[in-house]
Amino acid sequence: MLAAATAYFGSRALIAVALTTVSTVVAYTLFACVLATLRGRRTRFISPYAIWIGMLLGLGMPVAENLALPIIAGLLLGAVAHVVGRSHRVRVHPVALMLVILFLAPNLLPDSPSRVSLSRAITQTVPAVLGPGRLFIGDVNDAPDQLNTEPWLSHHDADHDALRRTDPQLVILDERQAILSRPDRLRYLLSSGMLVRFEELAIGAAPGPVGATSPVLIILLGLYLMYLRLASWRSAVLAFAAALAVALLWPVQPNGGAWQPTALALVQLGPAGAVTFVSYLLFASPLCFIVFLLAPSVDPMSRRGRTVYALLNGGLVVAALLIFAAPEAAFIAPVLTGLISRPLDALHKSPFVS
Amino acid sequence: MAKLRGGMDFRSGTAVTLPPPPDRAAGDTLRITCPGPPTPAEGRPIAAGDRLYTADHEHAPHLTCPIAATVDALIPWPGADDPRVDVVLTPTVEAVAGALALDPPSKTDPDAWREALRDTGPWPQPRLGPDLVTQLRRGRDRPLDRLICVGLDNFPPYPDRSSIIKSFLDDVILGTQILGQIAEARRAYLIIDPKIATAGRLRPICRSLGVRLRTTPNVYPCADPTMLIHQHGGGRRKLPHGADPTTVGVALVTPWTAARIARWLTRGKLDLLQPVLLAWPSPGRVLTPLFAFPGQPLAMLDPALAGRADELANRAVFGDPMTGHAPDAPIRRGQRLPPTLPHGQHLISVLPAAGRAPVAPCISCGWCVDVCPTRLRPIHLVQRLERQADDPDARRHLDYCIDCGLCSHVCPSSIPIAQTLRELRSVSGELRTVNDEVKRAE
Ligand code: SF4
Ligand code: SF4
Repeated sequence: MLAAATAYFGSRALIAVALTTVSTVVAYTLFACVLATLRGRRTRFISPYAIWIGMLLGLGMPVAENLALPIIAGLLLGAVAHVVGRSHRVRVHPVALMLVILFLAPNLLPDSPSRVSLSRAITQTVPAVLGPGRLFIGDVNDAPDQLNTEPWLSHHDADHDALRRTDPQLVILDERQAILSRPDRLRYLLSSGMLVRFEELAIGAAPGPVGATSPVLIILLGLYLMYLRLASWRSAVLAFAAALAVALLWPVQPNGGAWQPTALALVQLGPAGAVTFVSYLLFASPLCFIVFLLAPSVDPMSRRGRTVYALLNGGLVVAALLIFAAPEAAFIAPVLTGLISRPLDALHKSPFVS
Repeated sequence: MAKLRGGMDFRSGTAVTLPPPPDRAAGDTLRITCPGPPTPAEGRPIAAGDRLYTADHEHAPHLTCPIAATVDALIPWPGADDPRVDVVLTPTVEAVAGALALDPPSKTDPDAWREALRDTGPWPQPRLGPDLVTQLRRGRDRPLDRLICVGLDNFPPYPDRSSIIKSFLDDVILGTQILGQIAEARRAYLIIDPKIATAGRLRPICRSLGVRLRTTPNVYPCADPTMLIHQHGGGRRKLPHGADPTTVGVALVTPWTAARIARWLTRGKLDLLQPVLLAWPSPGRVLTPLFAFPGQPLAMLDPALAGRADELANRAVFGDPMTGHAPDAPIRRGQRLPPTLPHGQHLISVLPAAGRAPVAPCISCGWCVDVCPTRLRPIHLVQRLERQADDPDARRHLDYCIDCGLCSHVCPSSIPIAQTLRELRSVSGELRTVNDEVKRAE
C-alpha cells in the first residue's frame, strides 16, 4: 500500500505517511510513559501497534496541501489509541474515529467562517494523481488547473508531473440521483471522462486516500490477512452482501417521482449499467478499506457476534455514504459498530452451561 | 479445527504397532509411588503379586507388587499433607516376569471380578476419571447406563490409544464386552477414529460380541470425558471437568485396561508391564513405543530422560506437550530423585527447546473463543474471575473448562489463559477434590 501511495502520489504521500506514523508513535509512546508511570509499570519503548495504526491512518488520508494535517492526525491518534481500540473497553478502531473526527466533524458543525477555515486548513486535499510517466518521482501538486478526461494510461504531459482528476467516490455520490433518473447519464459520465474508468479505479489511479485508492490491492492485502487468520472471509462476504443489499434497497425518487428501491430504478439502466453503477458505488467508496483492514481488528470475538457486526458494518457503510453523500461518512459505520462490538461478544453461549 | 499456530493441527496421527509385551524383562530397581503408607516394612522381601499398599477406603484399589524383590527403602514425599511414599524395590532375580500368573475370576461373576480387580490394583484410567475399581464400585450404587472404551487418542497426533487398539484389536473388544458385564452397564461402546486402519475389521468383531462401535474424528481434545459425554452420552448429559463420569451414568475405560482384562482371561496371566510411547519433538524421530514396569526410572526407558526430576522439568512432561505435567519425585539427601514411570502413564513427551514469548495485552482477536472446545469465552472468564473469584456464573462456566490449553496455545499475545484458569479453579474446594482424585489416578 505504501508503494502504491508513493507510485501514484509521489514523495509527498510518502512524507505524509511518515509524518503521520512518526507523530502517532511519539504521542502514543508519550502517553504510554505517562500512564505507565501513574500505574507504576514498565512500558515498551516503541509499540508495533502504534506504527501500524499510524501508517494505516496515513494511508487512509488523501494527500493534503497542508502537511500539518498528518502531524495533527498522528498526534491525536497516538492519544486516542490509549482510550479506544481492540484492547480497550470501547472497541472502536482509532483510525476510523480519527478519520471521522478530521473529515466529518468540521462539516457537521453549523455553517460559520471558522468552520470553513478549519475545514480548509486541515482537509484541503489535492485532487490529482501522478501521470504514468512520472510515477514515484513526480510531484502531485504539479498539476494543471483543467480537469483531465483522457484515459490515464494514454496521458502524456511534458509540462506537468500530475493530472487533475475527479474523485470517483464524489462523482458517483453527487450524480447518483441523476444517474438513476436518466439512463444516459452514466454513459455520458464515463465517455466524457468525468468518471474515471473502472480499470483505473481498480488499480488506484484516482484521487482519494493515498494508500487505499486501489480496491484490488486492498482485497489482496485482506486475503493475506485472512490467510494469517487475522481476518475472517465470512465477515468480509457478509459485509459485502449487506452493503449490496442496502445499496439495492435504498429508497430513491427518480425524476422526483414516487419513492422506490434503487434496484427498481436500476432496471432502466440495463444489466450492464446497473452492475457498473453498483460497482462504482461500492468499490470507489472506503468499503474495502473498512471491511478488510479496519473492521477485522476490532470485530467481536465470537462467530455469531462477527456475523451481526459484519452485516451492520457493510449496511451502515452504504447507508452513511448515501445519507451524507460524502466518502468520509463511511467511517461512521465502523465507529458505530465498534461501540457494540464488545456487547456482541455476549452472543457467544456455551451449550455446556445452561 | 484449522491448523493452529505452532504448526500443529491436532488431528489423528498414524497408529504404530506396539511390540508384544515381553515375557521376561531385566530386573531393574523399581521405585513405586504408593498413595499412602506401604504395607511391607523396609528390608523385608516381597513376592510378585503381594500387596504393596492396602487401600484404607473399602472401594479403592490396593497396589500390587509387580516383581519379587526386597524393600530397600521407603521415601516419603515432602510436605506435611502429602501422604505419598515411594517404595524402592530391588529385584531378587536377574530377569523378572512381565506378567503375573493368576487365575482370572469367572467371566460371569461381576462381584468376583470387582474383588479381583481391587486386589490387583491400581487399574488407573488416565485422564478419564477415577480408577476402574472406584468407577465399578460407584456404578453399583448408581446403575450405569453405558460403559465406554475410549479409543480416541489423548493428544492427537500422538497415537497412544489408537496404537493399543491396532496392536491388541481382539483383546480390546473382548475386554470391553467383559467390562460392560462387570459394570452391569446396559450397553458397552468402543469409540474410535473413523480413519483408524483397523476400523473395517473391528466392526464384525464388535457386532459378534455385542459391543457397539462408534466413530468420531480424532481431533484434540475429543477424548476428554466432558467432550465425550457431551457427544456420546446419548442425551443431555453434561459432565463438568474432572468430575466422576459415573455421576452421569457412564463408566470410561482405556483400551489398555480392556486389553489387559481380556488377556488375563484368555492367557491366565495379568500383564504388569505397561505400554509407553516416548514422543520426540524432532520430525525424524516421532515416537518410540516400548513396554515398561511402573516405577522404572525414566533413564532406563531412554538415556535422554536421565536426570533428577528438577533437571528434567523443562525437558520432558508426563502426558502431552500442552497439558502434561512435569515429572516429580520425592527428595532424598537434599536432592530430588530421578523420576520414575507412574502407573497408567502411557505417554511421555520430550519437549523442544523453545522460549516463551513475552505476554502482551489482549487484542480481542477472538482466537481463544474460536478454538475453545466447550465454547467458553476464555479471556472473559479469566477477567471475570480475576475481578470476582466467587462469581457464581463464572464458576459455572469454569466447571466446563477442560484444561485443554488450546486458548493459551493460539493466543497471539501469549496470555497464559489456560494456566490462569487452572490456578483459579484450584481456589474452588469442590473442584480441587475431584481434580486431585483424577490426578492421583493418573
Ligand atoms: S483451556 Fe481454554 S480452550 Fe480449553 S476448555 Fe479451557 S478455556 Fe476452553
Ligand atoms: S486469543 Fe489472546 S489476544 Fe486473542 S482474544 Fe484471546 S486472549 Fe485476547
